[in-house]
Order: sequence, then structure tokens, then C-alpha cells
Amino acid sequence: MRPHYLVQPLTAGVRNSSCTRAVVRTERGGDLKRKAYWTLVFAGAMSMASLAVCKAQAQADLPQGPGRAVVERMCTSCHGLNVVTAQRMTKKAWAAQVDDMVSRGAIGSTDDIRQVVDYLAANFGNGQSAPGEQIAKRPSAQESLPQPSGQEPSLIADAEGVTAGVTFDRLLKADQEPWNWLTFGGTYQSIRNSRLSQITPENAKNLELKWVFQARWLDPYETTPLVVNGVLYTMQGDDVLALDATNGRLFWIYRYTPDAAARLCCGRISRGLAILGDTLYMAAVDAHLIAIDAKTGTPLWNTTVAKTASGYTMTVAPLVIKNKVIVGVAGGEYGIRGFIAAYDAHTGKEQWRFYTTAGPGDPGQGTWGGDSWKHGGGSVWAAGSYDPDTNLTFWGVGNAGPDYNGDVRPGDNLYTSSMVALDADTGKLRWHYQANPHNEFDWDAVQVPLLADIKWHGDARKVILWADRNGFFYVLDRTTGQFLSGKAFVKQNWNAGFDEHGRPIMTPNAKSSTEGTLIFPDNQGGTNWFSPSFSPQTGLFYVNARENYSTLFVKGDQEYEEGNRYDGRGHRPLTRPTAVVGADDEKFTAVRALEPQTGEKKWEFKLNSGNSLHTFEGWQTTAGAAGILTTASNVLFTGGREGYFVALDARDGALLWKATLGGPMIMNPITYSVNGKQFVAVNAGTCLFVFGLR
Amino acid sequence: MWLFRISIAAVLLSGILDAQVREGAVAGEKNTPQPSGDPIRGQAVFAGKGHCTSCHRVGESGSALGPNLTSVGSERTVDQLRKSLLDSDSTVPPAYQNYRVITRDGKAITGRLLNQDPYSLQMIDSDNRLVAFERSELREWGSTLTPPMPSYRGTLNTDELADVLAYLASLKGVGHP
Repeated sequence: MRPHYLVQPLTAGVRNSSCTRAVVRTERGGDLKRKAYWTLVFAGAMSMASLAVCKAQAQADLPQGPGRAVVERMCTSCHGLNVVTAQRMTKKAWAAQVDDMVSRGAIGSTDDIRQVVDYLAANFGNGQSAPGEQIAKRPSAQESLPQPSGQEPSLIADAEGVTAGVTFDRLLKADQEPWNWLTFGGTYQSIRNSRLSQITPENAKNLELKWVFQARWLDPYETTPLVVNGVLYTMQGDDVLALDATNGRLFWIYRYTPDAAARLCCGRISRGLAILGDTLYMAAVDAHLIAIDAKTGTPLWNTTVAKTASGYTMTVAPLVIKNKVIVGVAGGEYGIRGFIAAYDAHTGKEQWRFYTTAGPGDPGQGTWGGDSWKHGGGSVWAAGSYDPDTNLTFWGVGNAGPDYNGDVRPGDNLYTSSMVALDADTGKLRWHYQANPHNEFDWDAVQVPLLADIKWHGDARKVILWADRNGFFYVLDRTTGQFLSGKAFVKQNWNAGFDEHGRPIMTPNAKSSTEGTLIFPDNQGGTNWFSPSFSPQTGLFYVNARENYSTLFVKGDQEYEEGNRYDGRGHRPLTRPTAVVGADDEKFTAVRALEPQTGEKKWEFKLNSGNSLHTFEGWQTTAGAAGILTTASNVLFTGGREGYFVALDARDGALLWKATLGGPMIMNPITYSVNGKQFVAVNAGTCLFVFGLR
Repeated sequence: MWLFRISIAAVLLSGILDAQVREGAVAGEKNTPQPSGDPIRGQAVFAGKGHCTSCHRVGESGSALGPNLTSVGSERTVDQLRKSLLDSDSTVPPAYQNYRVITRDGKAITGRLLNQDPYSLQMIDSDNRLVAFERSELREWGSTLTPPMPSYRGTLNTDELADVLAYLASLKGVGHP
């Protein structure tokens, strides 16, 4: 008996072809016998004329060349050609694709198959456009799309590189293997711009759901996954999972139960992992750094970074540099003394530590009155970036504590609400820039610093592009820390300008008070921890901005007590009448594309606006949005609190596609490729959704 | 009659002891004699003459095909470990049986099956790589019948066995630097 295959009709083919095929598959025991039979089903109005139309359409779509007729004969009897012409793959990937079609019933001789693969590889190879094919209706900003220098390896390893772990050299060149996502920011520069270009503004409408991972997790799902050679590593709370990146099936799971004494201001959040060699690193919420075997999920070592009962926690994705794993602690709302520390990747032993509140003997000492530095906060909530040319690593530091009452901590309170540049080998401070000296508005400066080499008013410059919670977009020289520019990207009322060194000039009312002070932006900021993106293709910086949000900051007294909340009392949104759903459009979140040299907004796309009935309650959903991912083919991916995951044209913000995922997105989407097929992944609600082209 | 009663008592006692194995193992094996061998010599046997790392992993070293032994000293009693070394057929879990797939172009991959569903399967191969397949890519798949773990009866002498047992008993899991 000839076996048969059960598959759903090829929807794209059905739309473009009058042919329909259903094949049924059976398996017996452990053996799969490769037999197939065809069932061609024609609708009532089907006729040979329809087939002729099919063929005419086929001829019009395919470029000339050897094998064209074979492709028409083998392919168009089952589906249209748009599913072919929309793809760009390596020859090996095309061979696998054709093999798959044969297993589903495509008929052709061995020589036919060879001709088809050769034709497809020649005309629709990775990085190519077919002669005569319309690529874009708008002119492209760049001459050609940058191509990765290597080639995606087969997962059935014939290349040693697949079996080698993730070396430091691979991390340095992460942009050259865009089929993987090797570190939190995609690359050490954290610009979150992928060289993958299979998904384009023209075919993004053909994105469809490929698989879903349903996390057993109800706290905000903020983990950015890693992908290494077809294995996707993610988390659910403090569990770590290795999934098949093509379908979400589990390889292994490592379950970790953090100390119940962990103080969590903002939910049990884990923002991601790091990998070096074959070892994953997780910063757990109870301030433990844990090394995990990436092959098996077995823990290798577990280092106590800080004392849980004193309010220390970690939410950060670790950053691996050379043989060190670098993390920062959080818990500024509980009176910690923050720090950034490096640990030996093999042993877990601490190598260096940089305190984010300057104490006696530290550079910046004397910016804290009395002993207030001991409980001065300075959390490190999100990952840093790294410049191998200068061996500097850049980190954003959170607000000073107590958050809303600066009376107990007179002075600038270095290095809170600052960007710091540290020597990656020693942790020594090289420079800093403080966005908000003596801040009383809970404005963490923990947005991921993006490193870019751009033209700055005609001169080549190595810069940091940084959109801060205080509502300002900064450009700093990343070698020296020189302030180059600071431009508001949302409504603000606290800043009256900058002096010649970039120190903000505060407006007279820009301080917390017992009667309450109204400040724009609100305590969650003009943006928050989720990552922005920079596209070398468009030259634009993209950030999810929160517009017209304000807070009434109220100062209160509070004594420090170990392990208890220590934030100097509160804040509340400006009191207003009960909002009618949909009636208040004043506040909104939007993707904003900024020109780095001027801070000018080039375009904007609203993700949400006003009040709405959220699927999930909590400030993380109202304050948050997804981070931003851009690709070399000018597609931008992001999402917002109502669960709309969108693809936009990065050049002008045009909506290309959207999916309704039913839960808020407050993580950073990624893209990767397996066997020549590009995927885009995003968390929404409690799930990880993965999309690819039809 | 007395012999019968003693035999019954022995069976009952072994059952009671067996039921307490998990607690006893974690509690430091109060009722079980500690191995008399040298764990350092045992580690050398483990990695050398015993070829244990060809299937087992401790920390970052060794194969992931067999059970990970990083914390086996906290999970098994010495008697259980001895039984595993000398009488492997009865102690290897089904999840660690060898698994083999053959792709449609004839390539054979062996390893351990981690997960599967009607459309795909996920493995760790003999080179410690996580690999996944669509069933449509495969010609054959299934467990092989050969027991993966050899018996060390007659291969290790009494001292070597004691040393290996001492080494395994010392493996208590994750280090805390």
C-alpha cells in the first residue's frame, strides 16, 4: 500500500491556483515508508482552462533560465509561484525544500529535482532578486543590502563551527551570523538590527504564526530569547528552557526556585540569558548568578551575588565579555547599594565590582550627604553594551533612593540616573554622564545604550545613542563621554536646557514636594527599559515613546529598615475624572523615528492611545511596550499593550502587517533563521509567539 | 521454620530500607557504610579506564547521552551506585536507551531522544549537539536494542571499584564559589 500524507491545503497556492491537493499520511511503528499517492481535488467550476490560466500566470512570474519549464511542471500543479518567488534561500535550503515537496507528492525524476534546485538557487538564492522582479515600490535608501559574511550552517553538522560553542570571537562578530541571536542586544552594539532580509516590506503581509510556546508564568514576560544553531533558549520566571526553534518543542528545562525572601518591586522578572561556549548564564531574582550547561540544562555553579533579604535582586540579562560574566543588581526601592560586577565564566568567582553609589574612596565621593550612599539605590535593571575597540562596557544606572525624597541625600548622587563607561577587564570607571543629578522622579537611566558609528555634522564619530526615561534623546561620544546632544522626544517640563558640559538646567519646579509637583513625563518615563533600535540602512533611531504622561510627585519621610521598601513615599497620576474607555486620546505610546543629529522626529506610528480595558492589569502593561527590532530589508517589528504585534516599513512607518496576540508585549522581539527560513519571535501575555513567511 | 522467619524478616527489612533510600541518601546515608576508596583515584578511573565520560557527564565534562552524574552522590546510595556499575541491564532508564535516526539521504545520527511528537523529534546526538528533525526528513527512526551501559564486573578490580564509588558518592551537585 502506498502511504499517504495528511496536510492542510497549501493556502497561498489555493489563492493563486485553481489546483488543490490533499495528501494523507500514515506511519507504522518506527519506520516511515516513503511512498505517496496524490489526490487532486477540483472545485465544481474547475476546468482545463483554469489550468491554462495557472500556467500562463506561472510563465509570467518566472525568470528565464535552465530548468524553468521543469519548475513550472513540478510546482504549479499544486500551488502558485508566489510562495516560490517570495523566498530567498541557500542552495542547500532549496534542496531541503524541494525534498519536502517530493515527500508531499511532487512528481519528478532525479534529474528534474536537480534542475529545479539549481534553478531556484540561481534565481532565488540568498540575497538575490530575480531578474525583472519588482522588489519595492519606493526607492531604496541603500545601494545593496549588507550580506552576512558566512553562511547558515546545516544543523546536521558537517561544519565544525556548528559544534563549537559560542566563543567570544563569535560574539564579537554576531552580526555576521544573523541566523542566530547570540546576546541580549543581538550584538555587542545592541542596535537590534538584523542582517536577515528574507522578510521584506513587500512580503511581510504573508507572515503567519509558526508556533507558540505557552509559558507557565503569570508575571510580566520580559525575557528576550537567545538562538544558537536552531536551539532557542528562553525562560519562564527563573526556569530556563531549550526549545526547537522551528516548532517550539522542548529539548530540556531547568527549574529554579528562587529564595522566597526575594524582594520584588515589579514582579518576578527575568530579561534574558547570556551564553559563552556551551554554558548559559542566568541572573536570578534572588540575586544569584547561575551557570547552566546549554546541552543538558544541568546547573554548573551558583554564585550568590548579593543578599536577598536586604532587598537585592537581579532582572538583567548578563553580558559576557571575554571570560567574564557581567551583571548588575537591582532593588533600589529597598535601599540597596547598587553595583555592577564581573564573574569568572568558568568558576563563578567575582573578578571586579563597581559601585553605582559613590562611597568613600570612590570617584564621585562627596556627592552624597552623610552616609546616604549606603542605601542610595542605583539599580542596574537592563543589560549593557560593549565596544571592543576601546574595551569599554556601557551601562545605564537607575535612580537614587529614596526615590521621591532627595532631602536625605543631598548632592548630585553619583552615579545614579547616569550612563557609566567601565573598563571591561578591571571595572574601573572611564567616564560617566549623569542625565538627572539628584533625581526625585524615579527616572532610571537604564535604557540599553546603542553604539553606532555615524557622521556627526560631517565628521565620523563613535557615539552612544540613548533615549532616556526622562524624555530626552542623547548622543554622547562613547570614547570620551562628551555630551553632543540632548533633545526632548516627548512632552517635558523639567528641563530648561543644558550647560556647555551637558548638565541639565532644571526648571524651578522640577523637584518633589509634599503638596505634589506635576512633572512631564511621568515616573515611568518618556520610554522605559525596553530596547530601541538603530538602523544603518535608514540612519534612524527608533524608540517607543510614551507621550503626555505625567505624575504628581509627592514627597514623604521614611526611615531605612533593611529589607523594607525605602522610596520616600509616593507619586500618583494627575487626578482626573473617571475615564471613559476610548474617550481619552491625550496619552499614547508610539514608535518614533528620530534623526540622530537633530533629534527630529521623522515619522511616528501610534501603538495605543488613551484608556482601554487591558487584557492584563498592572502598570507594566500601561507603561510598557515591546522593544524594537529592525532588519536590513527595512522592516521594523514592535508591539504594545493591547497585544498588536506590528511590522512597519522602517523608512516611513507604513503598517505592513499586524497580528492580534491578546496580551501585552513588554520584551524585545528577535529574528533568526533555521534551514534558510526566517522567523520573528515576540512574547505577548504569557506566550512566546513565532512567525514566519507563509 | 526459623530460617523461613529470618528470610521473611530479611525481605521485609530490605523493603523498609529500600523505601527509606531517598531520605537516607540525601541525609548522608547514616545507615549505609561509606565507600572506602579514594575519590581522586576514582575520578581518574572514571575518566580513564572506565571510559565513563563517553556516556556520562560531570559538570562541563563528558557526554550528555547518559544520565548526568554531577549530583549523583546526593541522589543515589552507594549500594545503588554499585548495582549500576555491576548490573547495568536492570538500572538503565528507558529514557537513556540509544536512539537512531536515518535521514532520507542516508545519514545516520545516533544519540538520545529528548522529545517527540507526530511531526518532529528532538535529540542530543553522540557529539553532544542538540538536533531536531521533521519526520518528513527521515527514513527511519527508533530505539536500538543494545543496552548502552556495560557491566564493570571483571573490568574493574576491587580497589578500582571502591575508588569509583567513592568518587561518585562525592558528587553532590552545583558548586557555590
